[in-house]
Amino acid sequence: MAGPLDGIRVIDVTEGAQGPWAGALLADLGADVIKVERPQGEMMRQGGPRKNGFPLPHVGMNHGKRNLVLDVKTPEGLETMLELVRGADIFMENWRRDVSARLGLDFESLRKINPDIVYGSASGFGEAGRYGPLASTDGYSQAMEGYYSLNGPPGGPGERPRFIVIDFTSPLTLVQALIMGLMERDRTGEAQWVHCSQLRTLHALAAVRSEEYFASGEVPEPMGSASAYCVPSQAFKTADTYIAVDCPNEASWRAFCTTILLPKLADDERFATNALRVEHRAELVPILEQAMLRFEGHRWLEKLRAAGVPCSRVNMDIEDLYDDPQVVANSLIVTRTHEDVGWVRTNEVPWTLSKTPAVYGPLAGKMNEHGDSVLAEIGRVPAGSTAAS
Amino acid sequence: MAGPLTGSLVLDLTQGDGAPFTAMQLGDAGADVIKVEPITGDWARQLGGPFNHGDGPLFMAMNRNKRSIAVDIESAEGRAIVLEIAQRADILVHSFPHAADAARLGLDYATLEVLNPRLIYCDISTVERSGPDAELQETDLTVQARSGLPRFLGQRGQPPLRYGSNYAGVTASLYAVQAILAAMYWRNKSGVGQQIETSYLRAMVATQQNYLTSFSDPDDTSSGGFYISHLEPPAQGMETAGQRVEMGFNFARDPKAIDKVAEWLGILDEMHTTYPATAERPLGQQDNATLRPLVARELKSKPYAEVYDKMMELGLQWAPVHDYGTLYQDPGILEQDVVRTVEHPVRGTIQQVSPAWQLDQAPAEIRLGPPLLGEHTDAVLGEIGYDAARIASLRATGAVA
Repeated sequence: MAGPLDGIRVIDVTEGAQGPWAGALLADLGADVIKVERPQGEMMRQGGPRKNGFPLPHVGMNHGKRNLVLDVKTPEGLETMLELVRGADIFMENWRRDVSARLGLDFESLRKINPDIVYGSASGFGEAGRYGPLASTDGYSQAMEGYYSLNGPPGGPGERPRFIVIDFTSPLTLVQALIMGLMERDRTGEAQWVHCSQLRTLHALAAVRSEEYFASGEVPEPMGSASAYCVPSQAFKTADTYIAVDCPNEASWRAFCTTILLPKLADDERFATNALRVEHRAELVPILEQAMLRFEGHRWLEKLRAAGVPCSRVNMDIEDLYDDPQVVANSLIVTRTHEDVGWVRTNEVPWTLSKTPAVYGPLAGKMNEHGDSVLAEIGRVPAGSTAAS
Repeated sequence: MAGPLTGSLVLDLTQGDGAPFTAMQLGDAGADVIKVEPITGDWARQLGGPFNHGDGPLFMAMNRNKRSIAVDIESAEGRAIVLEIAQRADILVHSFPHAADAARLGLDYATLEVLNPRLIYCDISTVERSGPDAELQETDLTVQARSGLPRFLGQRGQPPLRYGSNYAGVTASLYAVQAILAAMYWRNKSGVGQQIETSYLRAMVATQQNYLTSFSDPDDTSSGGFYISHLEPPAQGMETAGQRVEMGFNFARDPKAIDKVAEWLGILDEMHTTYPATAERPLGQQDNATLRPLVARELKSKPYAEVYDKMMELGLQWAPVHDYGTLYQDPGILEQDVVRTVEHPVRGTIQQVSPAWQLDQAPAEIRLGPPLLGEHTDAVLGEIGYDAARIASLRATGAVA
C-alpha cells in the first residue's frame, strides 16, 4: 500500500533545512517529490561533515526525493521548470523576498500556467514587514523570537539552544499548510498560496511562555532546568549524576515525597498544591535537593519509577540516544545505505499510519541523480550540460 | 472563507504538556473540537502559579478553539457518552498514559474502526507503546532529558538545562497533525479512516535527524565542528547600549558590508594591523571569528537605534535578541500578526499566540478561548441527543460535570 499522498507531485526548490526537510516529509507520506537544484548546488551541499564526498546533513534531509538540476535563469531552464509545474500539485520555495518574482516563479505567474497549484512559501521573518528581507537561520530566528531569553542558568542573560530549535520545526508547519492547501484546492478547484515562517512557528511552539507573560505581566526568565509553572520539575543532583524528575500532578508529588523518605512534605500546607509549590519554591526546592543527594542516580531512577514518578537520566551525548532502550526496542534509529554515500544513520519516519504506511525513501546522493528520468517524463531530451555531479 | 477542516468533528481525549496542541491546531484549521476531560480537569490546568487567573499557561496555550465536556470516563455512563461522540467524529486524538488504557475503556482502534470506519485515530504516547520502558510515566521534561536535548544548552560540567518551553510535546504534536491531515486527504478519496501513532520520543529522534546522519562516518573527525557545537560556550548575543543583538557577517546584500561595519565601528585599521592578512583582501565570512570580539567590544557603547538603522541599511544577517518584554513592543514583530485576542468567560478579552501557518484562501480563526472545565457539557450532550432530565441525572451521579 502506498502512502496517503500517493499521486501528489511536488516541485521542491527549497534550500537549507526549513524547506528540504518539509519536502522529505511529504516524500515519506507518499508524494513524488522532485527537488530542482541550481547548477551551483544548494547551500546544504556546502555544509557539514562529509562521507565519501557527500554532505551528510543533505543526504538525510533530502531523502525520498528525485533530483534534477536546472538553471532557471536560462530560458531553456525556465521553460523546463514551467513544464514541470504544469504537471505538479505543489510548488514549494524558501527564496529570499523578490526572488520568485524576478525568476518568474511567483504564485501569480505559476497559477496562470497551473490554475490549481498549491504554492508554499517558507520564510524566516515573514514575506512582508520590515524584517522580511533579512536572511534568517536557526539562531537568528531564536534571537528575534525571544527564545534565547527562555533558556540558560537562572539569573543569566539567556542563551540559544544550539541549532535545532526552529530549523526542524518550521518545516512541520509548512507540511501542514501544504496538505491543507491540497484539501482546499480539491474542495474549491482553485490555486492556493500557503505560508510559514520561522518566527511564527517558534512563537507558536513556545506559546506556553507567552501565556505566562500575558497572565502575569512578568517577563519570563531563564530557569535552569526548572519550570515556571510546575514544582518540582527539574534536574536534581544525586550522589553521582543528575536525573530529571517531574511531578505534574498530586499523585506523583505524593509518591515522590514518600520515595525520598519525606512523606510529611506531602501534608505540609505550604506545598499542598502545585500553585503553592510554585509560590514556595524557594523553601521547598533546597529540601528536595538535599534529599536527592542521598543515593546514586540509577538507584533513584529505580525507586522513582517503581513509585510512578516521571523521571529520566539526563543524556548528554548523541550516543546515549542510540542506546536508549525505547529507541532500540522501537527501531527509531535506522542505518541505511546509499550506493555512493555508504551507510548513514537516520531517523525512522516520525509517524506510523496503519493503512497507508509512511516509508523513509532512498538517501540523497549526487546532483541530477534522477535528471534523465524526470526530463523524459515531460518529454524532454536531457541536455548534457545539466549533468553536473 | 473558513478553515479547511470546517465541518469536521474532533474528539480530543488528550491531556497534559504537549498532546493537546494537536487538537488545537485542528481547531485552528476550522474543526469543531470536543475536549473530553476528567471530572477533575486536564492535569495541565493545575500547572501554574500565583500568577494565574484560574488555569495555568500550559493549558491556556494548547486548548483554544475547543469545547470542554467533563466526563468520568471510568463510569459506564461516561464511556457511553464518549463512544457516542467517537461514532460521529472524523478524528480522535488521545494520549492515554498506558498502552492498555484504550482497550480497557473500549476506545481502542480495533473497536472503533468497526463502529466508525471513517474515523482517523491518533495515539500520541511519550515513549512509544512497546519496549521495556513503555509503561513508565514520562513527560515533556523526562523525554527532553532522555533524548539528549540538554547537550544543546549550557556547558559541560555545569548543571544541566532544559529547553524553556514544552519542546518535545509540541514537536510531537506538530508531527501528529501532519499525519492526521494526510490521512484526512486520503480519506477524502478512499472514504476510509486509519490509525496513526507517534510519540514525543519519536519526534525528538526525527528532529535530531541531521545529527544522526552527520555522525555516520567514524573515520571523519575533522569536519564536524558545527555538530559538536554543544561543547562550545553558549551563544548569548552581543550587548549594545539598549538591547542585545545577534550579528553575522554573511548574507550581505552589499559585498562591502563587512568593511562598512568595521569602518563604522572604527576597527578597520586595528583589524588590518592585528591581522595583516585582512588588509590584503576584502573581508568575508571567514573573518567572523576575528571580527566578533572587536565588534562586541565596540557595540557596547552604540545606541541600539543606531545599530538597528545600520544593520537594516546594510542588510547583514542580524536580529535583536528579544525577551518577551521587548518582543511585544517591537513594531516589526507586532506587524506580523503574531498575537490575537479572543473572549474568555472569566478573564474577558485575552491574548493568544497566532497559529503558525497561514493559508491565504482559508485563514485560521481563533473563535473560542480556552474553555472552562465542563463549559460545554450541556451543549455537547444536547447535540448527541441527551435531554435536560438525563443530563441532570448524570450530573447527580457524577458521571458528568
